[in-house]
Amino acid sequence: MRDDFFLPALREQLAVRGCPRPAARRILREAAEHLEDLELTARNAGRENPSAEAAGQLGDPAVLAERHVSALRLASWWGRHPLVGLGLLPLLAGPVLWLVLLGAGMGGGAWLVIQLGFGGSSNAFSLAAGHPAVFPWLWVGTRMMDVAALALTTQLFCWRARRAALDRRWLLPVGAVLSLQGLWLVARLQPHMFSILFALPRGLLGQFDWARAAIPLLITALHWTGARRAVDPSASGAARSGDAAGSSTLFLHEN
Amino acid sequence: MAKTNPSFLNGVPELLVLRLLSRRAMYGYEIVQEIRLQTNEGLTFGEGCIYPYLHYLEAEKFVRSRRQEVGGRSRNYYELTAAGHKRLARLTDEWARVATAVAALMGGQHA
Repeated sequence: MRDDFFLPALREQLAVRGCPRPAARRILREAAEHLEDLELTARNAGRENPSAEAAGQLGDPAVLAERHVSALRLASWWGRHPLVGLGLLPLLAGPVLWLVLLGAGMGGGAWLVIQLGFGGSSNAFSLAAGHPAVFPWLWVGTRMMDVAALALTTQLFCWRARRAALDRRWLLPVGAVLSLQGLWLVARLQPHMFSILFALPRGLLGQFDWARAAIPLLITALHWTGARRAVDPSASGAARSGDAAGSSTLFLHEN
Repeated sequence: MAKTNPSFLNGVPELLVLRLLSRRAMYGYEIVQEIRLQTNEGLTFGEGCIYPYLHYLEAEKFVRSRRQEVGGRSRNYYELTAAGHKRLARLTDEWARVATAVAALMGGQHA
């Protein structure tokens, strides 16, 4: 009888622990090949149920998944230092990253401003913003670049957290810090003036621009939903203590 | 035959895996079997646990892997890198010092 339980169970356990897909694919391929080898050995030895025996030798899928995910976390700087990478770094590097992304986006705007004949000087944006026909387009463009830069910054940190197979709770500081940044750091375009400043941004109706602060929260919420939580905490405990049958790393045999 | 997982074996798997891979490239199943055979079944590696270990060693750049087909079957073969050879030399040296020190103490106890 073929054992069809082990690989789907391992796939599920890797998924609930937030194992990135490329890593999961590799783990499953190697597990399938190992199963094949164990099964062949058991069959050659004339065992009754080689498939089930092979799966039993590989160990508990939940424990193995936990070990794989722990190894993934240890293998990356983000996994080893989540507090620095996802708690402090968004605070320090978040605004810088936002400015870089915004600058890259505004490069396209600068090209447009030059093409429209406002020159290439440092105040070309302000001059263009003073033109009644150009201002609405420039305002929309600035707004879009601002939002895109904030969204991309959040996306980059969330992506790092998920690539390191970290628990989804680490998405919370990313969302909180970048949301606060979204509330205070803003690119603003007014007639005759383009500025990047620390201020409470105002929305269309003159109220605080809560929509801007909601962007990082929305993105982290999407990642939170995508990164499912382990459903079997007892398995995690067993993996940490290494006491699950067949799943300890190295055994000493007693004669 | 009973199996135990004493805590003093921590660190030994890395030494064994690096030592085996210093001789030739191997895949996961092969490594587990070699440990069992070459220690006269005194030590066995948990079958599924070899892969998290190998992936960790690969991330640390002590080993590298490549896909290779042997006898019509494709497997991930692992081999030692230059950093892996250095790591093995250091671990072997540490192991020799620990083994000598423990042997000295145990010898003294039995004397």
